[in-house]
Amino acid sequence: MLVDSNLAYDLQLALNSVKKTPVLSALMVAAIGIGIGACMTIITIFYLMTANPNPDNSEEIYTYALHNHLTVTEGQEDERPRLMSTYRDALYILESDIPTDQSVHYQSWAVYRNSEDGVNPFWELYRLVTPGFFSLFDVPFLYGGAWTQEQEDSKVMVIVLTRETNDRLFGGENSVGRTVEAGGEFYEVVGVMDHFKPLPKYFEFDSGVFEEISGALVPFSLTPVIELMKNSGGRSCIETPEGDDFQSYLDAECHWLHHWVRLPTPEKREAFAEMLDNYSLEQRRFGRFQGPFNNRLFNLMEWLEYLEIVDGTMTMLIGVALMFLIVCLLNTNALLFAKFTGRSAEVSLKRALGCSKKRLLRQHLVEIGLVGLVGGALGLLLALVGLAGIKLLLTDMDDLANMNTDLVAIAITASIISTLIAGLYPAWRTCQIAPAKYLKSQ
Amino acid sequence: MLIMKGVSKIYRTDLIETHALRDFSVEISAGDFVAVTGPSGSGKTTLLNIAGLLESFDGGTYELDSVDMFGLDDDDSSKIRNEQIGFIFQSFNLMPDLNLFENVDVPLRYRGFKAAERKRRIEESLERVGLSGRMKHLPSQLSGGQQQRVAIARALAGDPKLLLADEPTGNLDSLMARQVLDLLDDINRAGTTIVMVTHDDELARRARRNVHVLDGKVDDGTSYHSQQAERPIEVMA
Repeated sequence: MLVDSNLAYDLQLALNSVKKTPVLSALMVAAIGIGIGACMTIITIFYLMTANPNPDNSEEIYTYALHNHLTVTEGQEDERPRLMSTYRDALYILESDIPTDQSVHYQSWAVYRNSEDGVNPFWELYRLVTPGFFSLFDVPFLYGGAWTQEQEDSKVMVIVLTRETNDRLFGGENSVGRTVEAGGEFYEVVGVMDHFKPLPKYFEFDSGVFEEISGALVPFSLTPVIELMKNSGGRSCIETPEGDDFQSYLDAECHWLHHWVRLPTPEKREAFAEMLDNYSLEQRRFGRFQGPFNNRLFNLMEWLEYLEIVDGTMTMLIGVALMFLIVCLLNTNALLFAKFTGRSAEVSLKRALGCSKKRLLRQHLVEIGLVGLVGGALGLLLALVGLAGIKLLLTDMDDLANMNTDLVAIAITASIISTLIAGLYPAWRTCQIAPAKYLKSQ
Repeated sequence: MLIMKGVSKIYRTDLIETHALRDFSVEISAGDFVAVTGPSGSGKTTLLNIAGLLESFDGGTYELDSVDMFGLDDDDSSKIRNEQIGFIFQSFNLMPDLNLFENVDVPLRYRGFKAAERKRRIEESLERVGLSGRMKHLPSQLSGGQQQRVAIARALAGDPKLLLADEPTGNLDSLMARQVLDLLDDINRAGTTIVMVTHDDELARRARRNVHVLDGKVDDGTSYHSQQAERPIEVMA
C-alpha cells in the first residue's frame, strides 16, 4: 500500500513490526498497561481530591480563622487559630459591609415529615445557613430558589430542600409553596436544590467532606428561634456556658460556625483583613483573644491546602504507584532492547539504502509511541477496573473514583511519554549500527 | 567519476591493527564496468564499502562526481547513498515481510518522492528486471535469481550514477548467474557505472575493466576484453 506521509509510513512499519513479534509486543503493552493502570487508579483519586471544587468563585471567596484564644498556654504561643467561629464573632462580622456576600452555616439533625401526605418521618441532616450560602457556593436549583436577605432578616420560616429530600417527601414533584415539618417546625418550601456535591465539601470540613449535601436548609437567623444546637460535625467550647438556656450557649466561647465571605477585589480583601485585626484588638481589651496575633484569611485553594485533605498516605501511595510504573518501564526497556537487537540486519540494510540515523530513530520512536498508546489504553481499562474495585470497597469514594476526559488524556499522554523515555536508549543504540555491519551476514 | 588517491583503512582492536586498505588509488570513469578481484581478505569489500559510503576511511582522498567524500556527516552520506549509489549484495538483502513493490519502495521513501512518482519508478524498475507481474509476491515466493533481480530493481529505482555489486552471483547457480550478468551488462550499456567485487573469473571477464587487489593495495590489472587491452588500466597507485 502506498502511503504518502512519512508518519503514516512509519506507523505502517510499526504495525508490521508488532505483527512480526506479537509476544514481545504483547509483553510490552502489558507491562506499560499494568504500570499506567496502577498509577492512574491512585492519581484519579488524588486529582479529584485536589481539584478546585468551585472554579468560578475560588479566587474571591474566603474563610477566616481568628486567633481567638482566651488564654495562652506556655510554649504554645504560636498555636493555630481556631477554624470555626463563635456565634458572637460571626454575628459581628455578618454586620460588615466589606464582603459582598457572606455565608454563616452549621449543620444539625432533624426529623422530617410531609405535613400533607402520609410519608413516613425520617431522620436527616438539617442546615442553618444565610442566603449567601447559595450564591457563594454556586448551589444549583431544580425548582424555585434561595430565600431573600429580607426573609432571612425577618426570620421567615422557609426551607430549601435537597433533591433527595424532595424525592422522599414529594416524590420528586415541584414542591415550592408546600409545607414541610422539620424538627417540629413548619416551613414553606421556597426551593429545591439539584444534586450538589462539591469535591471536597470545602465549606464544611468537619463532617463527610466527600459526601453530598443532604436534608434541607433553613435561615440561619432562626437559630435563636428554634433553638437548635449544632449536633453534627465539630464543636469546641473553651469555657462552660454560664447558664443552661440556649442563649447562654450562643454567648459562650464555643466555636461551631463555618463562615465564608466574598471579597471580589484585593482592596476588599485588605479591608476585611484589617477589620478582623481591629476586631481582635477590640476584643483583647475585653479580655478575649489573648496571645500573639495570628488571624488568617484563606481563599478556597489555600484553605484546602491548610486543611491537608490529601494526607501523607495518599502521597505515599502515589509514590509507590510511580515506583511500580518505573519498574514496568524498566521491563519495557529490556524488552525493547531484545526486540531491536533482533533487527540489526534490517537496520543495517536501511542505512545502506540511504536512511539517515535521524530518520531511523524517528521510525523507532513512532513504533515505541504506538506501543505506549496501546499500553495507555490497556492502562485506562485496568484503572477503570481498579476504580470500580475501590468503589466496591469504599462507598464514600464513589464520586472520587471516576475518570474524566482530563484524566484519560493524562493517562494516554503519560503512557506515550514514559514509553518513549524507556525506549529512547534502545532505539538510539539500534540506530548507531554501522550500515555495513550486517550486510554480509544476512 | 570516482577517484580515490592514497586511501587507507585500518581496523583497530585492543590487540592488533589490520590494514584493510593501504595507499589505495583508483580512478573510475562514468559508464565504466569495473570488476574488483582478489583473494579473500585482500580488501575488496572494504573498498566497496568505502566507495558506497558504508564505511569511513582513515587517510587519502575520495571524490565522487568531484565532491570530496571525506568527513561527511551522517545526513550527507545517507543522502548521497540514497540518491547516487545503488547496492547489490551477495545475499540479496530483501526485507522478507515486504512484497516486491514495497521492497523496491524502501529507498524511494527516504528520497521523499511523492506516491505517484514512486509508483512509476517501482513499476519501471521491476519491468526492467522482468518481474512486473509479481509485484505483490513476497521474496520467499521467488527463486534466488529472481530475488537478486528484485535487489537490482531496488538499486535501479533511484536512478543511481554508481552501482556497487558485492559478489552479485555468489549465491546463484550458473544459469541464474548468467541472467543476472546479462542484466548488469544491459544496465551498464544504458550508462550506469558499475563496480563489482567478484571471485568469479567469468564474471570478471565480462567486466570492461578489472582491478586486482592484494593486501589492501592495487596489485595488478589485467583486462580480459580485447578492447580493454588497448586501454591501460587507470591505476594511479
